[in-house]
Formats: sequence, C-alpha cells, structure tokens
Amino acid sequence: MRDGLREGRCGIAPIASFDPARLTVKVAAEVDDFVPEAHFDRRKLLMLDRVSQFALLAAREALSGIDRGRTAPGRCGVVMGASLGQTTIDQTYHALYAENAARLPPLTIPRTMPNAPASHIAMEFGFQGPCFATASACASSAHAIGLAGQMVASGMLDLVVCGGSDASICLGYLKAWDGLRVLSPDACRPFSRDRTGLVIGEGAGVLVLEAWDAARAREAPVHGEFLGFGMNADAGDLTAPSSEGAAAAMRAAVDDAGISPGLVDYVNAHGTGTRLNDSTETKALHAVFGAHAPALAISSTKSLHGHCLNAAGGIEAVATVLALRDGFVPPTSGYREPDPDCDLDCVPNEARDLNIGIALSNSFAFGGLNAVLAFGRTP
Amino acid sequence: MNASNMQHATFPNVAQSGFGDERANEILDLIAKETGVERALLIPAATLDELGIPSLDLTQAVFEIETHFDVEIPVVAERDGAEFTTIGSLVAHVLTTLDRAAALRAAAVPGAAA
Repeated sequence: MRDGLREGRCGIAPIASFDPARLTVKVAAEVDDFVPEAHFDRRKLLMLDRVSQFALLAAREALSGIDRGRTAPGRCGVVMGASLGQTTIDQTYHALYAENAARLPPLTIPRTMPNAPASHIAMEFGFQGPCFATASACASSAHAIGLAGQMVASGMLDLVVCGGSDASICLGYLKAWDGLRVLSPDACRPFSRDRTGLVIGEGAGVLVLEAWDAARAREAPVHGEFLGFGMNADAGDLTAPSSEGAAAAMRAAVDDAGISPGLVDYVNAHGTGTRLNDSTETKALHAVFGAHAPALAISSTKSLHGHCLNAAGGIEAVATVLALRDGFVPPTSGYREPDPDCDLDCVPNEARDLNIGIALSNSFAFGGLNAVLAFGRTP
Repeated sequence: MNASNMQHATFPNVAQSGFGDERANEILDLIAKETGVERALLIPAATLDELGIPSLDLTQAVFEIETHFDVEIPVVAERDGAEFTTIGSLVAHVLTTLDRAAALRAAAVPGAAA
C-alpha cells in the first residue's frame, strides 16, 4: 500500500467482477487478483462474505509480528466499522427473486451481519474483550478507530484491533448509488475544478492500537501515535455536508490531541470528488486553520483507492500513518484544473517528501456524521 | 373535472411559464409535486437555490421524471455549481434527453425514422 500511495497508483478501472451493463456508471476501484481459497479453507469460506475476508486479511497483516505476550485475552478488543455482506445479500436476493430458489444458503444471516468482520477477527485471534461494530456510513471506521483509541487511552483495554472493511461492488448496491447522481463516470478528481463525483472502492484498513508503555516494553514496531479524536453531528441535511460541522469535528480532534492547529502538517481529506464535499471541506479547513491553512498539505487518497465507504476511515488512517512514518504526502490523483473554491495545496498528482509531525484524517458521512482522527509521528 | 385537471387549470400554461414545449408542463408538474414548490414559481430563470430546493428533493424529482417518461436522464457534469442551477437548465436537459431517446426509438423501428 505504501508503494502504491507513493507512486500514486490508481486502482480505478472498468468494473470487471460482474457485467455493469445496467449501471449508468461503469467504473470502480476493485480488489483484483484476489483468490479467497489462497487464504481460507472451504469450510471457513462458507462463513465469510468478501467483506469479512478482507477484514481478516488486513487484521492478519496488522497483527503479524505482534506477540500478544502476557496480555490477557480479555484485555484485547476489536472495533470495526459496521459493514454488511453486500455481495452475499445481492446473490441471495437474486437467487430468491430472479431464480425462484427454494432455499438459501443456511449461513446467509451470519455472513451478512454488519458485525461479522469484527467477530471473525476476535475469533481468529482469540480476543475476548469488547468487540463490536460502529455504524456511521462513510465515517464508520473512523469512529471505530477513535473509540478504540479512547478505550486504550482510558486504560480499559491494552490492545485493540480497529478499522474497517468494505466489499459492496455488486449490481444491486451500485445501482442504488446510481440514483444519487454523485458517481463519476470515469475518474475521481478531488479538488479539481472539473471533478465529476466519487468512485466506489472496496478493501480494508486495520490498525493495532496499544498502550504506549506496553508496546515500548516489548519493543513492538511503532508506526505512529494516536493523538486524538473528534466527532459530532451536523443535525442538518441528510446528505449535504456542512462546513460548520466538519470544522467543529476537526477542532475537537485538535483539542483532544492537546495541540494547536498550527502544528498540523498534513490532512488526509475526506475529499470525495463531489462538487459539494470538496468546496465545503476546503471552507472548513480555512475556518479551523486560518492563516496556517495555505501551509498545510492536503490530499485525498480516494483518488487512488476510491471511496471505500465503511472502510474509508480505516484505509485512510493507514495511509495517514504510513505518510507520517515514511515522511511523504500521498498525492491527489486525477487533478487537472485549479478551483477557486478549493484553493488549498492538495498535492496534485505526485507524492511529495515531507517530514510530517502531526496529521489529521477526515471522515464526513451521510447522515451528517463527522469523525476526525489525529496522529503523530513516533517520538 | 378531476384533481389533476384542476391543477393544470390553476398553474400557468406553457407560454406563461416561458417554456416552448408541451412536455415541459408534465416535467414542471412533477417537479412541483416532488419539491412542494408552488408551480407558478417554476420559471426558467428561477434558481434552485432561490426556490430553496434541497439537492435530495431534486434527485427525487429527477427520479420521478425518469419513471414518468421511462427514460434515463444522464448526470450532468457539475462544472459550475450544482448539476442544475436553474429550473430552465433542468427542463432543457430533460427535453434534450427525451428528444434523443425518441430519435433512438425511431431509428430502432425500421421505416419509422422517415
């Protein structure tokens, strides 16, 4: 992922996993070359929708090399963004309504439940502490990471696996997105004047949050520091963003981190590539950072991995921490033309070396739900 | 006189509303119904902002228009502001779409194109 971010590799392409003929928009950022059988045995696969498969792979990667050591299973938790098994739902409804299937696979219900990704991680790693899923649409996994950070910071838990997974690229779900008229027909061009909307992606992003002293004591590789979390609700429009709500959430994250806004170097923007989101987010950034705003590097990695919905906050938190750790800003891909309504430095098209001390990751969801995470470089 | 006739009687006709196409009446009826905006206010120059039409109401109205005419209304690239800024631009886009769909249908039926 780090190399992809650095090289600005874009995963958006014509939909290949099914025939998109009935869709208005025929592009997405799909996980290709994925062979479930290479990672799970046949019996286990009966239990796993694609969304749980992605979650388990990301959790395995995040936990690889981590020796839980003496940490008690009850002190380890899992918090993931709630994510339905969309492809299973799509296939079973098709079987029922279009093919008049007499019966459906018996594990359809546990495969599709929105907590399945979280539960499968807890089961595989034997974590017996709190395990649940947070539901806030496109902010779900940012809420998950924020809550996980608070649970560790408060001393409630020693270690939490957190983030999100999403695998919703199927006809029924994308057809429903078509109706909202916010999907781009070709590319995701956040902050560019000729942007045409968002592109749906899929995938998973998972972090392991652990108490600082414990991680240091066992010489764990530390990629970054969770500094703070801000969340709120616009209590306004169901889908239109609010610059006041977004700004308040960013301020809350900065306050929770106990820093001044002037110390932030990089913001991984929500940056969906819709007309309204990007100008509203820019306005919010001006409101929070004032004279410091033009000095910020702001990029939307959705231009590379698409809008991964319930996984967006998780994948973008991973991108943010990699940027902090390795000293670079991932680019905003597809950028072609300056927009006076998006007048900040969005790091167009090419990654940039930058020593980042503190970074924010923004997530603003349908329903007017905002979640902002603050991360710092490992001291 | 049924309810829908009565509506037509109280709303401005095509000429008064500034649209030169009978189908515009049907489109405006649907927009008025879905957005709750008084039909008389739906003139070409009126902006969606001025009329206070939220984007979700507009999306729903476009869906109703698609269903009514059984046609797919392509998304307009949001170059300057919203997908549609005025009632005029929305109606013009729908009419263009309807014309194109009618031409395609005519071309698909042998002999009908003439």
